[in-house]
Amino acid sequence: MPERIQPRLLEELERIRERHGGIPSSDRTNLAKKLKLPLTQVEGVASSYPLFAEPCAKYNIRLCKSLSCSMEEGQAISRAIRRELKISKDGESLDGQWSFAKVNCLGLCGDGPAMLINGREYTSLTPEKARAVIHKIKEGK
Amino acid sequence: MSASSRSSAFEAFFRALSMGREGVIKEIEASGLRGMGGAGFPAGRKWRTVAEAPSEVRYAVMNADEGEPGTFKDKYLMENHPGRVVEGLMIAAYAVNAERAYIYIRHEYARAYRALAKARDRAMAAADGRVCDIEIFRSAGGYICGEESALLESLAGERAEPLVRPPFPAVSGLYGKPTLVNNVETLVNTPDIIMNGADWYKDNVKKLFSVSGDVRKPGVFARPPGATLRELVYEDAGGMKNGHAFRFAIVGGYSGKVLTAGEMDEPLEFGEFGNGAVIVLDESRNALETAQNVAEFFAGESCGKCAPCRGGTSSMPLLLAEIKAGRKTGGARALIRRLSNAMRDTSLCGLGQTAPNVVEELIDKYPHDFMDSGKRRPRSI
Repeated sequence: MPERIQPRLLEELERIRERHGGIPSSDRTNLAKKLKLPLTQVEGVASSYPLFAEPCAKYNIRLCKSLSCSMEEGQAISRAIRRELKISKDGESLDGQWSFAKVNCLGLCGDGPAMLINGREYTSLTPEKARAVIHKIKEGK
Repeated sequence: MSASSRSSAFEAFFRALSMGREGVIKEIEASGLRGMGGAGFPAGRKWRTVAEAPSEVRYAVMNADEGEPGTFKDKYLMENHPGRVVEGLMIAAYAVNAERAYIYIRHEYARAYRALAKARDRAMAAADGRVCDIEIFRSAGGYICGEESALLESLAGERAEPLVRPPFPAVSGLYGKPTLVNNVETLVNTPDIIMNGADWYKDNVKKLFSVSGDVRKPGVFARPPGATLRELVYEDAGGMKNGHAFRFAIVGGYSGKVLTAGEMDEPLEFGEFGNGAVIVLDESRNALETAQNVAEFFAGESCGKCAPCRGGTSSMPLLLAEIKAGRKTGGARALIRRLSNAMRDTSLCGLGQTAPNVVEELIDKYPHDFMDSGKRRPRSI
């Protein structure tokens, strides 16, 4: 059997991401030590996976920007979310609880506009509906 | 796709066992089944190459990394027919004598992942040791992971970047071993071929089309090859919405082609419909802004490994922005041509080679939208 240290690296990165929403730099250093890999290798692998580049936040919002979703009010929905959560230019909310990114196709083109919040699907969005979803999450927690 | 109760009993898998590996491969070859992920490569030929490759160890991988914009048919299959999807992979893994099978699924597909995990557990229990383990790998990667060499690199825990081919994965794939990589929709057809035979399949070939955009009822529709865009838009997807007229469609996703109203009745064959994505745009849509959306997609998804793709995809949005600003449009258009040719000829993998397709076709077919600002028709996306 070939050496299987590398797949473990991705598994560990995913575990960290699930806990923190992203990969804090201190965790990269610790992970390199734990797996006895050079830090450059950990950084090198992690940086080619968009999911591991997400900022550490409690809630990650990923709004689809591909054609079928963005044609319908895509810009307005994006503006509504940014304003609602006071998202800065680097995609994080002031309180650090939320991150926001426009991403490519989520496979929800038949029910667009669509977004994922922590992996959960929200479809047929309007600016009002997006705001309502965010309110519900804020109140629920 | 007809729902089927027998898929839960994995009857086709047991039939395959009774046919033997060679029998299964012969049946798939005779059926003429082709790859449904876009390339249309004969599945049987791939299976035989892997099965006969001189190696002790082989792998079978289902490519469930559906990421081509406008494509959602694999998601539909995995969420609605997970048992049959898994059974298709079991048959393939058995036929090529795989030591281990993998489902490589993009992280965003959480519902499909849960459905597959349950189906996999049922399948493992039913097969009772007569098939190799099936591991479901949730990918944290982007669009490039759908390219099969990048997919296998990622599965091995490396950077998600494509390799120079040949050698192809069927000869040297995961960990350097012969590896079968098939799309979800390709594999989902195999239980039916095993149960009903190659001749039945030849008369019942269906391709799934994902239709979205400015249509009344977006969705996944099955049609035989040779279907037309008109049938897909007006018969399946309920026609255009908001009372607007059809302007153009992007067929095969962002790496595919552009079809105009005048091309709606041309039969779509393998090699033309790609993976079956159909994004429909109506008369209110602007070809330049559509091109910008497509160009920005590739700029964001290029893995950066090779220069033609890295430089080409990042320059394309800048050139289109110049055209949008209405300045030097002739020069920008000429540069786009040269850039596109270089990308097509010299990029390492399919991403860079196909990235300029839609942009160039939009310029060819809707030149007025790319003229100096004074000469344009007012439209907005």
